[in-house]
Amino acid sequence: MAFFQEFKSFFPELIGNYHAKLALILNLIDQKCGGVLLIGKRGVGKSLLLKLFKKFLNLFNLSYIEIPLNVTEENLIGGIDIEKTLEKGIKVYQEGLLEKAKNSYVLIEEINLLPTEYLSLIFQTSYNYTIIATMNPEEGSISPHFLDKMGMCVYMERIDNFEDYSDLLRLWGNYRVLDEFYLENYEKLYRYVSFVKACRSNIGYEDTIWDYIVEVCLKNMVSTHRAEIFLFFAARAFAAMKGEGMIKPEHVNFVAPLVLLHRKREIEEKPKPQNKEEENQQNLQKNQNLQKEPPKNPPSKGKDSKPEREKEEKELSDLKEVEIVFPSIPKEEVFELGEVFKPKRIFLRKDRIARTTSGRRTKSKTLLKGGRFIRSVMFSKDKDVDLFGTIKTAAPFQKLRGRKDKLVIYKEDIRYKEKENKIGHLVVFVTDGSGSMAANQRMIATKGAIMSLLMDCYQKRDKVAMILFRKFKAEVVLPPTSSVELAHKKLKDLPTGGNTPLSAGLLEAYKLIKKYHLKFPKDRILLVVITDGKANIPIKFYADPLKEVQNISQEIKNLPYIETIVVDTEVKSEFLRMDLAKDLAQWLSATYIPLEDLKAESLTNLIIQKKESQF
Amino acid sequence: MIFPFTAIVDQEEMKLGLILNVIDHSIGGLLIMGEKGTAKSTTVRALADLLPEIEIVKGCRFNCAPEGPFCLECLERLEKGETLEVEKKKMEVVELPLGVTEDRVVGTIDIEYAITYGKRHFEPGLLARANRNFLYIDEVNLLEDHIVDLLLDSAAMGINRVEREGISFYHPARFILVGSMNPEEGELRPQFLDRFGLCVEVRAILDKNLRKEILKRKIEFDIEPEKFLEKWRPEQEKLAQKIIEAKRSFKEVKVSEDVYEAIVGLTSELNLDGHRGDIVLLKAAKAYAAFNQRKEVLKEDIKKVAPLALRHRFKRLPFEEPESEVKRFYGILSRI
Repeated sequence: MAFFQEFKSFFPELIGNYHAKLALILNLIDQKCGGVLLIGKRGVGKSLLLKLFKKFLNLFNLSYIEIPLNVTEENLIGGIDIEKTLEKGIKVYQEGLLEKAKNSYVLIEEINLLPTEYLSLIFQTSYNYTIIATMNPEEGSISPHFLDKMGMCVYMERIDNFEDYSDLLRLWGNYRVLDEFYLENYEKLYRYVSFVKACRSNIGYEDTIWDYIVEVCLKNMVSTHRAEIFLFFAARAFAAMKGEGMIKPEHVNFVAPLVLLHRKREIEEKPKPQNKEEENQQNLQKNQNLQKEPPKNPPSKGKDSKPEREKEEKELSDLKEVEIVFPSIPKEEVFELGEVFKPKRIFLRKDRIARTTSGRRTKSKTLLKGGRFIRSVMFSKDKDVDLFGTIKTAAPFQKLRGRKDKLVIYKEDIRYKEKENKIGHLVVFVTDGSGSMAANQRMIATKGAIMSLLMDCYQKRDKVAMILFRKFKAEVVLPPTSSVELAHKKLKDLPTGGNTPLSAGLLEAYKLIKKYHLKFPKDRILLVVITDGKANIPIKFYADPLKEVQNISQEIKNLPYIETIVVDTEVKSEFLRMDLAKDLAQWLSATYIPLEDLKAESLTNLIIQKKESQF
Repeated sequence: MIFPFTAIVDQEEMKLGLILNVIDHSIGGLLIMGEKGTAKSTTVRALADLLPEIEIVKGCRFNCAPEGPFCLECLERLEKGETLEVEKKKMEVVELPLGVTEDRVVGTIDIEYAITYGKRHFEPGLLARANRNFLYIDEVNLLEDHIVDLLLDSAAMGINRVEREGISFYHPARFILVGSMNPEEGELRPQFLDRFGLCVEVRAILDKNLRKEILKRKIEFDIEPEKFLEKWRPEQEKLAQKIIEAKRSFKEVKVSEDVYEAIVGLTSELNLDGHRGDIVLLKAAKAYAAFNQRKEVLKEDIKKVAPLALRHRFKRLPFEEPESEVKRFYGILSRI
């Protein structure tokens, strides 16, 4: 670590984070190192470091380009210069950002927020330039395919070393203008980099180093061949930094984490999109312990001690379980969150309705200004003129209309843009909080699953609502909101115990969706019913609960723009399984998924065919 | 500078799939399923670089072959009695980016021409450039549906027919369609899947010595590309010659009754949909025989190319594991 002491004076405005600085410097020394992706949560200095890097490039006139999130395709790959085209009446091409970027640095903030189509363009020619990018994993990730094309990747964490932290406060205590301070440090860095750069191609290597690099990669379960190539160049640059004439195994070891971290098979899961990762981990352990031992008394809220009715499903469940569980578990409990995982991708079919909402789940025609242009059309409700399309239409008539210096455009030439955007949904969770969910700690797994879906909703910019049904009624615990944070809190405190008034839960969902549609009539709804389907309490006295469920399902099915998923929480290994949730799924024409299958591991993505509603 | 094809280590199946397509264009393309970082696009580019220049009609914007089929423009010139001159052009890999628009793919009206001459004139798109070249689509499974439809259309007909913006135009669009995909990222529509003649699966090589060789060659190439190319030139020329000869002779390769029966036996036992599998298998086997300088297809050839031609056509219900079907397939194959 002694080596890192020097790094204090490089990019001095950022305390610590030596690995990130090392990665940047290696890329300054040799562009073949393949770029750096800085990953970290908000406020750990990703953007600051990127700004400092930019400052360095600016100071010494190194070429770079920046790609902002609002970039359009024409600017990225070049296209027609509208301004000049209009003026001159002949086609004038404009060079795209990516063409300009050749052999220089490309800076991208929050790369994960760029649409996949643009990422595909950027990474298609990524061997031409060096990408330095930041990303916050809480906001979603980028495809491993693209990740692999990045040379290095550094996880930035907040500083918890006391000394460094006080340094940081001292530094930022007095306000400073970024561009004007520490110039001597940057000059020193520049001289250093230029010197090392000149040395790097003279570095020799022995034949054994090949074996060593391959071994390191294989040991770390890295299968892509890019790893070794980038690792070689990184090790070479590092050897040059150390002022040595040969690449040695220790050089490889030192830079290996930078190159290999994002290429390990399991690493994609590492930055759990969880606010309280540690807490979660502890919970996880607790849960595992709980599962091994016979259930102890988890903390109970115990506000309600009214004796419950005998539960049919309890009788049906394993006798041994009942003996242990019944006396010791109070009627109402609050379970911990279970394991959070990356849920399967849920795709919904595109429909033909133009919308004004935005989000990241499903593609839809959009009325917003943004969105990807699909084609130009003659009629459109909103007046987003497709300039280029209009010129194209008017072009053949110019001679006829006697054009002098300006284009002659008639009203009938005007074309509009049809655009497509990804939209979010309202996701309504209808959760079973009955006593049957308490058996076998089922609620822990269920909560984990809901949390996982919630994280997914957040990344896709969905709105969420939550309905809990138990005892004799259903209640909206969370009205439609975009705050997943809030949903998370509510979820944690969700109580369990009592009967299963499934029909009431569904009715509540029906009312909620109806109300929501009054306000946002075209929004798409995703209804997620999480239950084992063992309805036993009707809304009306003496009615058949299952019959009621069937009737309400029929109503829900007929709502516009709705898709439904039934997540079955029944323990499938149980001796007496009833598969009632399957019937429910049929009544709702919903997709049926057992709880266990919700994880992303199974590759087949869940595709919901949009049933063509009345449109 | 492009990494030499012959210096690519292993991945024999992918290389073979590409070569067979070059020998016989009508095989219908190659789908490469595989992990990231397995030299998929490098291999395609390298092959295009290896191949000799093609002859095209001089000045044709659609790479028309001197012997036809012709685009409307060449036909017009022929009608006027012009003789079409010939020029040579290097083959290229035309890449189709994911976010591509319809305009860019099929072509559109030429504005400049329209404004100055007041006439509609066609401006070629990517399909025109791809004519008689490689059309490479990275992550083909993520391509948007309306673009896939366009491609299906012209890939099937070998013609790009444009009826838009008041323009009526057509030109030949015969390209070697090469798609790559990572099945974990989403499925490909079965209809599109079937259009690919051959399909290979590539995996990263885990053998230590081979990996070392890959690394060594790549670094050698990165540091001193000229020297590296020089070193591999003889190999490159040898392979190019082999392909040219196979291209010349594949049509004369004979197929015996036995071989026909073997093919039909294989495909009927597998219970495949449609006949594309049989036809592609026969074409691939002929190309493979020609590549090995033979005048007759052997049963061995069928065994060699059957996995490429049939792998992606197995019938499979959603959520069903493909393993069992693959096992059965190899069982049937070994009995030929």
